[in-house]
Order: sequence, then C-alpha cells, then structure tokens
Amino acid sequence: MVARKLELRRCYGETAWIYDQRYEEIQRGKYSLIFPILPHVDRILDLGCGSGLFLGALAKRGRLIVGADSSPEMLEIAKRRPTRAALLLADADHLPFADQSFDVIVSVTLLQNMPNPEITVREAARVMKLGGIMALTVLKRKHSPEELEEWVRGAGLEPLEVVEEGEDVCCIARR
Amino acid sequence: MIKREDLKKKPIDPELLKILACPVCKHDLKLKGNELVCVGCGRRYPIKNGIPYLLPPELSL
Repeated sequence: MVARKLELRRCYGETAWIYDQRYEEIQRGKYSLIFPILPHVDRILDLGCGSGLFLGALAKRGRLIVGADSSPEMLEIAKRRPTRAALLLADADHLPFADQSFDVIVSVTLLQNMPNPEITVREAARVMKLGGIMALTVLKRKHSPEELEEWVRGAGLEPLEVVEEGEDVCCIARR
Repeated sequence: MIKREDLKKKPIDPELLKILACPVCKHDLKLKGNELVCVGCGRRYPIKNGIPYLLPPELSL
C-alpha cells in the first residue's frame, strides 16, 4: 500500500511540469460536471487537488477552500495560481482534519489511484459535516458505477446521483 | 476571512488551523514557530514554502 503511494507520488512529481498541458482541458470538462451542483457553503475540500485547476472555481462557492494533494511538486504549481485556497500535503487515507470539518468535498480522478478506494471514501466521509455533499469521479475503465456507489454507501453516505460522462463515472452523495 | 496579503506574514491561515488534526492520532495541532505540533502524540509537521506537510510517518518527506 505504501509502496504504491510512494510510486504514485514519484510519478506525479516527475510529470507535474507538463500536467496542465496534457490534462487541463480534460480535467476542466470534469469540473464542469460537478461545479453547477455545488451549493454556496463555508468550507470546501478539494481532495487530490493536483496543480490546483479547480481551486479558482471552488472559491466562488465557499469561504475557506482547502486543496490537499500528496505531491509537493503539484502543490508548488497550485501555489502559483491566483487563488486564495489553502494548500497542504496529505495522504487521502490519513486526512489531517478534525471530524466534520467540511460542508463540501470534491475529489476528481483520485480514487482509481488509491490502493483501497473504500478506505479513502470512508476517511473523506469522516471529515465531512452531517448533511454535507461529496462529489467523486473515477475513470470508467478502472471502476464501475456500481463499485463507486458501493464505496459511498459503505462510508455511510447516501448516493444522490451516479452519472457516466465520457471516460468518467461521477457520484454525488450526501452524508 | 484572512486577507491574502496577511497570509504572507503568517505561516498558516488561522481558519485552516482551526480544523487541522494530526493525520495519525487526530488530535489538534498547534503552531510552534514554523512547525505544527500534535498536542496528543507530539509528532511534528513542517511547513515548507507555506505548505504544511501533514503526512503519516511512512510517507513523510
């Protein structure tokens, strides 16, 4: 489990400089799926924020925006953006937040990289307030809509919507 | 909400500090100089270039 995480961090570290060039358009397409359903809230966590492509938009929906990622190189790129988001280096399975800290958690294309996504969703649910909204996407070629829904239910969340769009499955859930 | 220019003077946004917890034992973290220290287990987490490094020991940098 640790070896896989270290390898992932190494890969993102090596490719951080070219990430936006390769993936910005694709990632922004995914954000456009999620953004319209996000309510205006107090605190939002972007879990696996990467180079921070979504942070500017999220700032229109929340007062405190936090971007968490496991790659310091990606966070250095995120830091250069004109965003007021707070950034921190973290492991998604060991989140450095108190229980029920966030109103909204978004996590785009992170779960398929985690050794055990069920654990990751459970940990994310821990730091989300009761009544909070979570928006998760995974790559369809890695996981099915049923799997994503199962993780969400296993974390005690209520799936509100599971949609397939392009290469992704997206689940909106409530705690 | 703290202003962006003020953030440059502080190692960490006070609003963020309120909700931070130790990634291992989940106790509160206190800011001590340029480090975050767990009030429960005493683990210390550095802040590098304004970014808190809050990793469990097996993944720490």
